[in-house]
Amino acid sequence: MLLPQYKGNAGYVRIDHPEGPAIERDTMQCVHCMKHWLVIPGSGRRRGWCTRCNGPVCGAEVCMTQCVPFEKKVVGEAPW
Amino acid sequence: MASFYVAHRTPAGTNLTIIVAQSSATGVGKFHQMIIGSDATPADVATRFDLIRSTVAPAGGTALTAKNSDPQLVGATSLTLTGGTMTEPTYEATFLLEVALNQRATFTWIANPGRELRTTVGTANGIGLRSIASGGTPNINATLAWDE
Repeated sequence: MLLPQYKGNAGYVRIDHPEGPAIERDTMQCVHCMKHWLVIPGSGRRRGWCTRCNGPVCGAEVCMTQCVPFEKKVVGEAPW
Repeated sequence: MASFYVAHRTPAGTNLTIIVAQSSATGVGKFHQMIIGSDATPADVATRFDLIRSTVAPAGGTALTAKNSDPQLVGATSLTLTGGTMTEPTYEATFLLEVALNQRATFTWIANPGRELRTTVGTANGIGLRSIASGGTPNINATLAWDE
């Protein structure tokens, strides 16, 4: 079975401040805990990729070592 | 599907909730937008904000009223919204979104469709916007938007 296609960036942030142009960044989302983070190339933060979910993981130990998709955590609840 | 907004303002501080939205027994929220700014006199004050899941509802505080994005829709939100000084909810240890922000700046986060932050059912469960640490106590203005 083919994995769902990875959809790329999960969100967008914009920071308006008085000293210069607005800062715009994309966010990505962990497929296990739903956490969003800013994409900052070269930040040194270690993230990961779940080959089972075919999506990025945030780097937290529980998300890096266990594959529990968020959809599975809320199965049986109100629909998305 | 209904879409709602809520706004509130409160001074920054250490582990202080600005807005917390608790699910109901059957209803959940899918948060897709957050705006943080300050209407205080401009100053260089660094504050860290977290958007974080709660597992125990707060006590006290100010009940907030959500506004429907479409005034022709009469349905009310199923979420319980609280702001201001309260007995803090119990939050998870890890956050969903973290923002470190100078008071002079305004921050906007928008989730792409399908990538919203969803609460889980149950009145104890929710998502809160919290000031984790701050170099001062400037007034913080926050807006959250979600779909149900």
